[in-house]
Amino acid sequence: MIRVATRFYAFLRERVGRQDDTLELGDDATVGDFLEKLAEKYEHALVGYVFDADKHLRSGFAVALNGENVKPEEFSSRRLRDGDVVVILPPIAGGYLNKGSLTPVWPWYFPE
Amino acid sequence: MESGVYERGNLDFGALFEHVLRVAGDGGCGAVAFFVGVTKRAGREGKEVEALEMESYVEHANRAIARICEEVKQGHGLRFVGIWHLVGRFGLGEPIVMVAAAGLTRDAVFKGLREAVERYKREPALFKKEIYVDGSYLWVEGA
Repeated sequence: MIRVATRFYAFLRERVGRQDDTLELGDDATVGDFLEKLAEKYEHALVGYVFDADKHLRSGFAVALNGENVKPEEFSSRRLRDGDVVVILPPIAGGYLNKGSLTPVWPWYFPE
Repeated sequence: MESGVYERGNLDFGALFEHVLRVAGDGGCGAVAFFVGVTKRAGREGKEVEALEMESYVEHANRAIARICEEVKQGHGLRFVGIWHLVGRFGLGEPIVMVAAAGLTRDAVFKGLREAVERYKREPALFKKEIYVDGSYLWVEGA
């Protein structure tokens, strides 16, 4: 088992009601597995908002692993290690999320 | 005075200004330009702002800011690019961010400064909350 931490910022923190959390996952867990587990644990706060009804991350939110953005197409292949930090980033640019609408237009940067 | 995120009160913009002029002051630069972002009264949807709160996922923001500075510096052939962003609670008129660019020509400096400004508002994990005089608030985009 590995332990992976997360932090909640801005309105995600307000919705979830806490600043951070740590999840336990299997040794071969991926970023996608982490997101799925997070969506299950915080279904009341995050599904329909950050995650759609199928618990997929909605466009407009980026995910950072240890401070670097991860491309959505890599969620299911990017393996995690014990002590990693995965953070869902609320929009830095492009949306009035509080109003329930989202206009994700910013170019997220992904390291080579 | 490395580029990055700092707690309000932990960075002196006047000292930063002098620092950048020193860096650019060896005769190799012909121009230095600065941008300062300031808390304004006019908020979203016509509401009046009382205060601004900035928070950050600092590890992410510092990496992104360092990358922006290096890429803008290289891309425009500049001597120096710096971005210093504060987090905390800010009243009207308070500065929250400084961006600087120094290089040989004003053309390169202005272009580099503009790119650095547009990019710090989009790439680093910085989150802005407008707090209105009526007691409501809104998390807004575009740090």
